[in-house]
Amino acid sequence: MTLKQQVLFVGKPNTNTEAYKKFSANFEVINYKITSKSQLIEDFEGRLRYIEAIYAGWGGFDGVGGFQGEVLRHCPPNVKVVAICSIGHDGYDTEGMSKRGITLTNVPSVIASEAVADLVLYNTLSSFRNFKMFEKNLGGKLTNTGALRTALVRGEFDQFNGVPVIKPTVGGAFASSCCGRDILSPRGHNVVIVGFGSIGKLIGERLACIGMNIHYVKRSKLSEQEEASLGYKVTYHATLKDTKNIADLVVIACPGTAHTRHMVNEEMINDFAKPFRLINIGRGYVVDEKALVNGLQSGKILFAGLDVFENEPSINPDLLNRQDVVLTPHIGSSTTENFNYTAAAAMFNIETVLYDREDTITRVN
Amino acid sequence: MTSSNKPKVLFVGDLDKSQPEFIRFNEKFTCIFHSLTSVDQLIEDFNTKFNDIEAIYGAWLGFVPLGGFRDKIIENAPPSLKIIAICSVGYDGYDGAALRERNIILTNVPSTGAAGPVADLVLYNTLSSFRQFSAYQKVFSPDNNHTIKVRKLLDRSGTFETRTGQPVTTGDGSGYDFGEYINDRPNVNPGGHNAVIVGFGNIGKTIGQRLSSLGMNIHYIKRNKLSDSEEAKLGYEATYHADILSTKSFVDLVVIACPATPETKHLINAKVIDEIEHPFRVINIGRGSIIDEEALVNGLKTGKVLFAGLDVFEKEPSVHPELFGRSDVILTPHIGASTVENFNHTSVEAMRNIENVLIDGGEGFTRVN
Repeated sequence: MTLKQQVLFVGKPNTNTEAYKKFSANFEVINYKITSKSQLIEDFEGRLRYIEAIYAGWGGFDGVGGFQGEVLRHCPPNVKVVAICSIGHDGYDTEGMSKRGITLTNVPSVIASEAVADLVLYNTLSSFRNFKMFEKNLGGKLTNTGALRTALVRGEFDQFNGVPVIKPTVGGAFASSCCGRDILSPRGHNVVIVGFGSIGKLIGERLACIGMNIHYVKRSKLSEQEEASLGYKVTYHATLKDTKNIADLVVIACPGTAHTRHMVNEEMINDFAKPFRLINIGRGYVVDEKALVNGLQSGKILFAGLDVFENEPSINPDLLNRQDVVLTPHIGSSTTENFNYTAAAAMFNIETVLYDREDTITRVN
Repeated sequence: MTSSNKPKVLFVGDLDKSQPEFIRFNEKFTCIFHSLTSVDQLIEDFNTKFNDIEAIYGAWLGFVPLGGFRDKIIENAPPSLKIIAICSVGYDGYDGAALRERNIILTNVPSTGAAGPVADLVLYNTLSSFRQFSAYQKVFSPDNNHTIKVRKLLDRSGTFETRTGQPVTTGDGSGYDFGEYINDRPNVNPGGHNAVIVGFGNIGKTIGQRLSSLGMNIHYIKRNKLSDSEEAKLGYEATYHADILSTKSFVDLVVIACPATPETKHLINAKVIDEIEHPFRVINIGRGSIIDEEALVNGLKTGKVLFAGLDVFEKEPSVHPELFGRSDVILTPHIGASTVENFNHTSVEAMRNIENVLIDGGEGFTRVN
């Protein structure tokens, strides 16, 4: 009788799926909760020394500074593959892993991209239509819809704190403006998508559907054929600065690199010709969060929709409680479909490597 | 030509006066901007200072504060009045038949400018109904300004409190959670799920286009099925059903986009909510009376209704008090079509109607009575 190969699970997939049931029938699953680096190293050298693969799920080694340095050095000798569920692989020393013959696999998930694009669509609608201001203020003293609309039309916007200043009032105004802020359709306005990979392109598709003009910033322009196959019209720009006269909405959909750090900063915010809206689903530090707050307080930035943060997981407290800001706790791709899909893909990657199959896996290194 | 020769137009609502169309209009007509106070005062004014007005720009709210333009008000309308031009589609507040008797033309503005913005509001609500975005807003606070902590606090250890419509936070937030659930409620992609649109006119069809772009399966309910060629023109696939209960085994989201008629009153009631087989979401941008609001509240409290996005209300402008403060509800104060573009578009159309009647001797472009 052969012993089943041991696979360490530091992430927790949904165990109620076909994929997991099959996997756990073929392999010996060792569930492990990481407590500290020293404990992990001790266990790598002790009871975990026979493991051959690691299911790292989402941010599995974040708590111990990533799968690098000491952690990588003490990784048990038979480990052939580490499988993660995300696309991004920050904190994995891919070079070091290659040297040790350990494959890193990720999951480039279309379902994830769609989910992120849906979040951007939600924020875009809110950014032009000021929905949050209507939602937040109906209730309390203003329980009458006509009164709320009139109060918001006649009210003022406390720009510094990002809240409307309104008094209950009688009336039935048509709210085409909200505390002096125009309420517009996204249709006919210009969105600049920074980063135009699979996520950026899907964002373009969603926003083209509601009538926006799509502009993209990418290190190199797509070919004519690639642009034609998008299904919607796009205009290329080499840099974000090139869009300063036309941008109504900027969507950050690029990865965080030394090159993109603080791309949105005080200089850029001042340089842009019109007050604009900002959505970030890329990486937090692409936006200088302090400069963003100043931009909101001055009104140069009309709206911010943020799923990622410069000092994630911490959020700048000045962003809380503003009605021109929508915050989500990095859940752009957090759907049950994506969770299950990426878990199954990660398990598939592990199985393919351990059984030495010919099937294609999504390897990073 | 002195200003007293220009036909007088009474404006009971506002518009953007900087528009070139208004500037031109103002050269041809004497525009009197007036705030309504009471029926008696209006009747007095009709007999005195407004006794020679030829048109009324009814705007949006019109005569609702006075109970509508009917009965005594119509009886006392000046004989010179030829047209009332309103900006909305709906003209519930005007007795069209009585106006016709008095040879007063009533014009509205059809929903072409409204369809896009209303469909965008439905799209926004749809995304939140499946992804629960609005539920996160409440949990962020100076003590909870940490993304992973917020997700962990809301994890599956807790059960969504359907009675009050609040997610529960459990534990101290330490540890990790991917966030694909808020308590026992999954965050799901709208794509692949079934939307049933009740009412499939201009607005309903535009809603269908928006939701189909998310990958939703579109079903529609209409008194008469669209012809094959009409369905082909939609640009997306849509399946017809004669009534809402025909969809009870698969509906994930109901969108009410039909007008208020005796037939549609309480179309969504306790029986329908009960008979629909799985918990579902509902969005209403039609008219409040189509949903029995008390039954809706009960549905939310049991969790049979997972989400309600309401822009209209049964006793509008009042809102059922138990709808407030719930994380599974998005309330907007009837602003589905409220954009600058639509406001301006409808004002221009109303002015065109007035000009067509008073200067060109026409019947108005969009007469409704």
